[in-house]
Amino acid sequence: MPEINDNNAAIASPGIICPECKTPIDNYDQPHSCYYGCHQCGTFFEYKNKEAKILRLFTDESRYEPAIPLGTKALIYEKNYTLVGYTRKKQADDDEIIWNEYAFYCTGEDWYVIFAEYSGHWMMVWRAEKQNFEVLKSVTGLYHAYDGNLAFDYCLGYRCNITYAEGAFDWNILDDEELDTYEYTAPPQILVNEIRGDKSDWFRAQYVSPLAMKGMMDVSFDTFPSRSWPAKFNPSKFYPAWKPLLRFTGVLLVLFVAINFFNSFFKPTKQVFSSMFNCEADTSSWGNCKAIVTPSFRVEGPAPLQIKFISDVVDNSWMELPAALINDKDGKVYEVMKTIEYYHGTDDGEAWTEGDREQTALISGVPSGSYHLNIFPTTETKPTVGNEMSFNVAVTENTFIARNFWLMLLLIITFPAIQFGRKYYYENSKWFDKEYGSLTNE
Amino acid sequence: MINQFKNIKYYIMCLMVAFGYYGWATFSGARMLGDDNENKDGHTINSAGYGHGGGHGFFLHK
Repeated sequence: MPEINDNNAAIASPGIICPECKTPIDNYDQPHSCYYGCHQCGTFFEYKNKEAKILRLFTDESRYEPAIPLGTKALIYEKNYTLVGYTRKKQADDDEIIWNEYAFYCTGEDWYVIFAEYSGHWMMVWRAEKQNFEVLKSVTGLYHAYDGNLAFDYCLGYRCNITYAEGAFDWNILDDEELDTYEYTAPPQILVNEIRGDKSDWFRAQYVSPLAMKGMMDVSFDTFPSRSWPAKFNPSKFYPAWKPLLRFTGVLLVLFVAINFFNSFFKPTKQVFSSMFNCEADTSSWGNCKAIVTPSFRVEGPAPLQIKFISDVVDNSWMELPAALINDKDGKVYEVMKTIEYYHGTDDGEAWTEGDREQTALISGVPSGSYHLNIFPTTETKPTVGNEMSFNVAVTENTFIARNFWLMLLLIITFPAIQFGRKYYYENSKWFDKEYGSLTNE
Repeated sequence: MINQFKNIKYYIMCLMVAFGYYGWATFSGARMLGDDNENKDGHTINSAGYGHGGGHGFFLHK
């Protein structure tokens, strides 16, 4: 992309004649322009010192009607621009990748603003104020251009061929075929690095919707090429909500951590009861044990209570432990039932175990008060002297309710995760397809 | 500042309600979903035919 040589340029009237077909060439930048493309016959020529030199004849097959007519005025960032030149380009190593570039010129500006159209999508390209972007190779082997902390991923490197041109140019656009162009993306932003020998120029590019273009210039949508999928440059529709969603999710996660920290600090987990019990045979019922009534213990609620039953003597048998947590004062009952089952053996020389000698039950929202447990153990074999079935009961208050934690965490991250996935998929489908960025580091 | 959240205001409202419920459940030690009845067989402690054995007298208040 060329630099305009003189800041005092003025828009001039027509005056250049095509050396091939003698058609007058509109020249909107006469003081500087010395390269011209004839819209009539496709001749690209140099005109210096009143002498014309034909540089290339674009074939009829490569002719293309620009979507924006030359001479179109545009108001870009409150500056008046005029469309002075149009070029049609293709990627040098791929005949299917063709795009159009519209060079807008503003009196007093050092650089053109280019509107590039590809697959019906438009980008505005302008020279970056900063020219010292650092390009580094990451540990993954990919290159990134850094604008401060923002990393632009290397996306594409190419050379172009000019297939057609119209209008006036102050540089030999055919020289652009010698440019090595590298594009880096941090959607929706793009950095373009043009390198010719030791000279490196950086440009910024940004997607422009047709509606935004209509706001800048008097153009008709009818002449715009139809859009084709995959869209390359347009930002995903999630962008407007994506950043606020991230911010809100971040705030919620901080609150989530704070609530859990607060809760564990002010309501620490504490064991309020632990004791060992022996099952004594109940003569009135075969196989059952006598009911066990635990001593009272104090619960500071409201709190979730965890009741843990452990029996190391259950061996190839089971022990059922129905229990009732009873408020000493008002008699309110909370029921739980756990079965300790533990079996082991050897099958075909391979040892196996099944079940667990430890079971836990959770009772949530237990109010403050004094409580005791009524436990009604039942064992597979009737306890006898010398074959006692013992078990331990431990009650812990303010135990962690994992289900609440994971449920809330899931609620917080699900929607952002879905949106991230959609955005990621969308961006990948746009940028990393066959033709636009195979992520090779050339 | 507030305007940026306009697009997701309903999501924010839903999440804040859920988060409020979570805060209440955390400080009151309640479950957000489900109940404490882990006896999937549907038996109660004082129901006849409970478990592997017979029934039990229930209220053994001290």
